[in-house]
Amino acid sequence: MRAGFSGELEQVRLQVEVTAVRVGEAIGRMRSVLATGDLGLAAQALAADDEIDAMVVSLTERTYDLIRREAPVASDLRFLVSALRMLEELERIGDLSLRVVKQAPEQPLLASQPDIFRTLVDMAALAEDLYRTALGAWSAQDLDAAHTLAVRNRSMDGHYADLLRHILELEGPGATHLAVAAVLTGRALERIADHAVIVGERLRYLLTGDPAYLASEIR
Amino acid sequence: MEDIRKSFHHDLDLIRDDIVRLASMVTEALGKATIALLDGDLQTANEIIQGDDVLDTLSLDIEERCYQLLALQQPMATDLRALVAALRMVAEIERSGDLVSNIMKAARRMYGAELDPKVRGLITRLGQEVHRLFRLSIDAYVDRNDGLAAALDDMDDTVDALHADYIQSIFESHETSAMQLQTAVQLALVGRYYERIADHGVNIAERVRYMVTGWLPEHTGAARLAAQNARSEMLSVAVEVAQGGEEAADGTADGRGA
Repeated sequence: MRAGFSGELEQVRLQVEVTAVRVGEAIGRMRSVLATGDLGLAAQALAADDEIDAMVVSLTERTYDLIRREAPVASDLRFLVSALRMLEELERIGDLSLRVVKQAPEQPLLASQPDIFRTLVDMAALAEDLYRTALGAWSAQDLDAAHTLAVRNRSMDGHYADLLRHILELEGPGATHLAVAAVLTGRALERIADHAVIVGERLRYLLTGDPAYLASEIR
Repeated sequence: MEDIRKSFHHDLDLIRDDIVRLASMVTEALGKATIALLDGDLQTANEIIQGDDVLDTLSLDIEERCYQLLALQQPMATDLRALVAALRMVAEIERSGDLVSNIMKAARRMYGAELDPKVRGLITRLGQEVHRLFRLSIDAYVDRNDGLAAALDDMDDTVDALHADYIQSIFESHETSAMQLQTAVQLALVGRYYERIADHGVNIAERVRYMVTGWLPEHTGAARLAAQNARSEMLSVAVEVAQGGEEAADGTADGRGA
């Protein structure tokens, strides 16, 4: 019974990773759409997000079922609850990358302002980088990597401040339209990075059991 | 053994009471926030922002107690579902509180801006609709009313439609009454915050349905296909608008996340 259970735990761990890889692909597509405004790719991204959502729902259900059937204790329970939270974060990161993708029709407008565009492109690169670090930390159960996330996310705040500064310098008739597209894109990218940090903090809680790490996602 | 169960249920009741308390605080702040935003009331804005610390402390306390109960008592079936739902709900409510604070921070940044009647009207309606949806999601939790919880998804469609009108009104306001860029940017973010609070309300309702019936938000094949078609259609409209060289009305209304 217990041998079967540990196999199922391993399955949950693997499936979370598979979902995370899919979300990583979604972030890659998001960066391409932001860079090129490719509307065909944007449409693919929409379809891929539905698949991610379906994976999250089915895995969530399985995890709940496992908790119900096996009544796990201590670290197993902490792992399963963490997996549930991780899935929630993954779904959210997928949705946020889709927000950026949905700005695809505005991409030429964004690209017409070099300062704004460069900042957004940098933010997207950093968001992906932080996400990959979070994913690596989760896969390797690496406490140190998890620790670096919160520190590295600070440069995202700097980017976002730069973006707002550039936006407020805009002038002319199309300024509002561009400003709104830019700030909503920037905000989504900033939130992707925040969620990568939260994944790291969840991992720290999982590995240490220290509830102090629960606090860090509350801001 | 019976004493242990009794103590467990007592602890679970206390958690439930505190979740309702937490949600009431957020609901109250949300109602005040819309009025403060429209009135440029900085004092209320500051009070709400400072009040977020209290929400955070209470949220953490509840979450820790949930984990302790999970670990120590090994609850079964219904109790376990109630605890897992509680954990997720705390996160949704706490995040909604953060978003209310964000609305107030935006109000501070756009202090002194004159808003035209159309924008004000849409903020009022958006605020009311989101407030109602959030409050009803908590009512569903308190009453364990899965029917009400199931209805909230439809109400969220109203919020999404209002949000699209609202973004359009910001564009128009800039053209007709020369709204400042800072104001337009802050208003766009405010719209996003309201929309997200409504999403959290819908998520809370989903937790309630799970808690009461074990239901999970699995789309049926047909519903999923319909949702997918609606999304594709939305994008193709956006593409047409972009290719026609016109300004897209709103490229922002997207799906709801957990």
